[in-house]
Amino acid sequence: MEKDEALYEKARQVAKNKVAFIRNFIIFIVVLALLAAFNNLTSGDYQWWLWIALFWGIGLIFNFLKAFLFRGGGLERLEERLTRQEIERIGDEK
Amino acid sequence: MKNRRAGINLLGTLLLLVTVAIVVFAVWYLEGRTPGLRRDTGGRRYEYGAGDDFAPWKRVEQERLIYEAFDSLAVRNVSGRIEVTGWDKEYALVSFTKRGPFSQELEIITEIDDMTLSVRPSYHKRMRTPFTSVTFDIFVPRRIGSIEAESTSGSIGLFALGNSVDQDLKTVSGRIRTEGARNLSAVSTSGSIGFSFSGSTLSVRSVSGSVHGDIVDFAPGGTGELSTVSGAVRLKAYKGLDARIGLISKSGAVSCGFPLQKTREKKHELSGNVGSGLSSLTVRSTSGSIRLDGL
Repeated sequence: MEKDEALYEKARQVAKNKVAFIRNFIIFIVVLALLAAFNNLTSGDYQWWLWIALFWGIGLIFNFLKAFLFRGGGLERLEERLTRQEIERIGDEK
Repeated sequence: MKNRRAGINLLGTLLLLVTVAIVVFAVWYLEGRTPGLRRDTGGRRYEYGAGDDFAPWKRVEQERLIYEAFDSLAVRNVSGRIEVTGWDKEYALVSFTKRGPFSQELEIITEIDDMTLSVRPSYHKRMRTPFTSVTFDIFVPRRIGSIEAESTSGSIGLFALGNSVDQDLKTVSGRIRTEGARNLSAVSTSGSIGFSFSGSTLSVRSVSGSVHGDIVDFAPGGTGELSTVSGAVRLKAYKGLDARIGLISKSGAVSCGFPLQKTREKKHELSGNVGSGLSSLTVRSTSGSIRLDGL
């Protein structure tokens, strides 16, 4: 039962991260479009909104990596694997 | 279930690609915003140096060069506007602004040969020209005799020159504006043409652009030929106009505000004399309307 709950929580967290990435992306595009329009309607000499696009975009890439590639629990999985190896080794020695 | 998971992953990947593209573009643009390099002056005088402005698109180089002892000007451009303004000083000031990621490979050639100051860009062979443009802002003495200006994609504007300058102006996609011309030849494919004329030879051709012109004076024996395909023609002439007039359109409306001694009148054609018909003014259009009024 406890295991099911932990599994549910983990799955929920992954889903939350994915939805958060998509939501952040939409906000990213809308805000950048507004800033670009404001920039070019007032003075198009210098596209300062690209600074915001640059740093926000890098943040969004990390957001993607967290949501879709590195979903957490990497160290825990390593710990489990090492434990299993250790048990096998001790068993072999006996 | 697996399909849905694959779908959301695919969407996530697509959004990532868009984000990466925006970031790469931002890096590319922002990296190139550094001012352009100063060029060798080659004996020409600077009014101020390069790179005082930042580019809307990557890089800008600016120079102002001063020239004396010439009586005509020839400017050629590929992409970008040409603006020539008359002033009271006895020398020319050539100012140009290069914009684009490859602007450092774009040379501006300025030389005086046979009393003609010529200004033109020289594109490097391997250069991707569509991404680099140059605009010319040139000030010339009002006493200058003639101006030739040609641009492929860019407007041409001539201002404050008085009415004593012969002008030959050509552009493909830009518009043409000239405030004062003695003899004028203006050709544009898609841009409109606006002029003020006071010489003996007037030649104006446009394909889709409209033509608006003031005829301030028309020398006896002079000829005026104007033509468009789809653009409308609106002409205003001084009260004492004395010319054989021909206003001919295939399908557009034709009207004349001058008292015309008509020799031919059809639905889309008006011909006749204003005064004794010392000079000749013919306007032709395929589908555009034609109107001639008094100033």
